[in-house]
Amino acid sequence: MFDHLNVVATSVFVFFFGLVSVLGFVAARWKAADLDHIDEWGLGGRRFGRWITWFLLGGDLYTAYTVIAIPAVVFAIGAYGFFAVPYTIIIYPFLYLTLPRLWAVSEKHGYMTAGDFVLGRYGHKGLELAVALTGILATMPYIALQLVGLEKVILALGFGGQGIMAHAPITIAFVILALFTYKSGLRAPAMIAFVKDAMIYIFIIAAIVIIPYELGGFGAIFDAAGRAFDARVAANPKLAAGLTLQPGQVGPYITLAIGSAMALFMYPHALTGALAASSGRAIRFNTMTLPAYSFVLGLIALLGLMAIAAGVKVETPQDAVPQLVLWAFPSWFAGFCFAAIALGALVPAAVMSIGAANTFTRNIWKPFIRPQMSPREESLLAKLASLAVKIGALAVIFFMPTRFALDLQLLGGVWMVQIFPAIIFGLYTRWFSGWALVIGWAAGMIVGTSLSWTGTAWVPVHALKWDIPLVGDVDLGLGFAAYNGLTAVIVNVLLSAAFSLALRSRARDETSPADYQDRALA
Amino acid sequence: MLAASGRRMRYHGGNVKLLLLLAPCVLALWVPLYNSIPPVLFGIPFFYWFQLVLIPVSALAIVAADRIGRD
Repeated sequence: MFDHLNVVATSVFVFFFGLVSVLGFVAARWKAADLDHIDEWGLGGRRFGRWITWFLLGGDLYTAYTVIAIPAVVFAIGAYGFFAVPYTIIIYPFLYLTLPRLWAVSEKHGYMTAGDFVLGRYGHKGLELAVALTGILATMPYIALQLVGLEKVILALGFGGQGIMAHAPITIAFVILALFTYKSGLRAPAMIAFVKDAMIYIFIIAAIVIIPYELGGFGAIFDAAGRAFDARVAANPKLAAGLTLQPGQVGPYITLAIGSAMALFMYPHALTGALAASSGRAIRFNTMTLPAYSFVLGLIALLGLMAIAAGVKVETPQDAVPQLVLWAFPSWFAGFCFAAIALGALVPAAVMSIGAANTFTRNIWKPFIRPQMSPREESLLAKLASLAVKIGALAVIFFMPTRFALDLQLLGGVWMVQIFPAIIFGLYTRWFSGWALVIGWAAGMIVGTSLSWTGTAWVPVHALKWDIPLVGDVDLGLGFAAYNGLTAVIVNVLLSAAFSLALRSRARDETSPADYQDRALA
Repeated sequence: MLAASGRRMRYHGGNVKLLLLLAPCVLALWVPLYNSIPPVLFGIPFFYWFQLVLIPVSALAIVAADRIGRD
């Protein structure tokens, strides 16, 4: 299994991996507090200032999977993969308005998860359960995909091996991750994020300067990529690929950006990172500074075109970035870049497992199994749940085809956006009632999932014409396809509104309008 | 009288604030506006450099929106 191992690159890789593992354990002593309290273990005691939050959220949202998958789409079909850029542009103005409100009400009432908030706001356990299950369901495959990113770079280091040995390196990496997350909680990824983000920035700056130089400039790169797309389309006229969007791609490009932006902060890991901030001010600051990561993401997307121009050979498009790194850089720096990507898997994987564990503990176990839990018991259960989530993700990678995790992740986004009405509308009004939102959610989940199944594969977009059972063919006549998450959430909102009119809620709302005000601004 | 004009000022500021937050989103989603190769800048087609430039512009717009009503 070591025959083709790149010794220099692997040594550098192992060095950085070891360094952050030590940091992960040391983090338990950082801003020392009682880690047997779930608020400390699972939310860092809500004491992360603006810069720590910046590194943590940056490391948490811009994942290893992103670094591999976005350029892979650009490598395969070009402009379409750039949807990540409008997606990350529209999200921050939106977060600037909404997230400080969620932070304020959560701090006031001690909410740790989206489920906590909807229970307090709507007084409806069914809605809390729906929100919690959606979060956990969508997070599991996302963690599994971080492992795919990790495995891609380990493969590029030259590891061979058959059967169980093929998975040995990521198993070791994940066991280390599981142990320091168990011990240090959210402090571990927060501390590691400093190193990881610094390394990613160095990797990208080097790549964006050196690779175009080696390839004869950006003009040459785009020319070569454009010719490659033309050749592929000539060989397969049905393929939609090119340096700009093809007519049929425009609708999906826009709706995918909107839907993905609506879904992102519904994920438990995103909320965990945001609620751990020490003030609404820190969150507002981050909506102005996190676009720096979006810019880096845009540059990372361009690596897909550079890989075409460099003529790297790949088995799947997901190998494009690792192979480009090996092509462009000396071994020691390739090892550094791979370590950066690998750490880019660990930070989100840690936060995701913590977010899922908090959700499971607070919104499933506590209300439905054991209401009288002490904070110490909550903390222990969350720690154990974080281990279980990671073992589950490893099992997915071991026993299921990668395709399965990819499909689930795609559906995860479609599902996640279905809790958007309950959370975001809930920040402004209690007009919607709990049952109505549950009905809307259920309809959104069913519509989104069924639209995504073509009979042979799962796809994220569907033409805006449907063959509805009992109704027949319906065609909106808009002539373009849209992201299923967005189509489904519109159905969700319409039903939630209609049923809210019919089913007025008399349940208690424990929040008051003043709780949502950002004290830093008031 | 003074209080009323103060309220109107704040209302006006709120509109400018929303406009600053909304404008970059509209530009980012107005795909036909930038879905083309020319004008090329430093060898980079318009589609790519326009969106890349829009990222820092959108961040600055949030900074500006944040300044309104804070002093």
